[in-house]
Amino acid sequence: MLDHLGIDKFMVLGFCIGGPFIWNLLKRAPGRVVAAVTAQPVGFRPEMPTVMYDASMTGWAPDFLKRRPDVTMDTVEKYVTKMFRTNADFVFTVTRDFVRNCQTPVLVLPDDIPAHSYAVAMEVAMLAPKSEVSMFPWKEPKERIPLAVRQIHSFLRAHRSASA
Amino acid sequence: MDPIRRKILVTGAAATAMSAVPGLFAQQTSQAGPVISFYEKGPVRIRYQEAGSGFPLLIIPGGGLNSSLAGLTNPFNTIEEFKGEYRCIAADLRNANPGQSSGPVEVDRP
Repeated sequence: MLDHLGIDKFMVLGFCIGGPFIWNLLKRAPGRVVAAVTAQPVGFRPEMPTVMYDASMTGWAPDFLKRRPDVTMDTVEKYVTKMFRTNADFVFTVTRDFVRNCQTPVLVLPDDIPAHSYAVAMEVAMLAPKSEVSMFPWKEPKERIPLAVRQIHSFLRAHRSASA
Repeated sequence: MDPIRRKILVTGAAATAMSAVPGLFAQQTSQAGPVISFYEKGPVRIRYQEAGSGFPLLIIPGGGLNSSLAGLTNPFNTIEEFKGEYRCIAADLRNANPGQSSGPVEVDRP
């Protein structure tokens, strides 16, 4: 889609599932992502290993199958399994070594709910050589959100300028 | 018109109003939101929106496999916050229930 829009280099801000997607983007198009912000990113929890699989199979699959009679439950189950249970670990889409060697600036805004592992978010922040991390919690009390947004602005401006 | 890109001006009426009544346009723009478009390639159809201008900023809404444009206001309104400085692009995740993007369910390439 970005190719279609004539966009080569870009920055990315992703929430929740956007975390794993951003790492996938960094793996597939490292030269195009100038800087990345992962907010309340999804991460694997060894103590709750099926939380993303379960949430997808109960919160997405039933309504999707109603809308798409051309797709079978077997296919959906395999799809969600591949995404969240096969080799489930860390940020799901890349390895720790990948993050350790990632030269793209990354700002992490951690969360701590079952789907959004605080431990993984902080591990990413500690591993990535050009990472920054927000305060935590940054969403509560809600008066903190503008401070976090201000940090996102500063981070993006710094790296937008560096790329120009 | 580009056959794979059908732009829909959600605020089509507001576009006319813009030149005549700037205040009215500003109100309608903030209510109706940015430009919504569709990108189609083979069996994949992606609904996306663009707002603002400047360096491109791809915004991925939250919501797990139900990630859609509707999630862009949680936990804060990202488009409103960044469109003043960036060309913001966001899309419905393919096959998200609240969205309008669709495509194959690719087991080997989720």
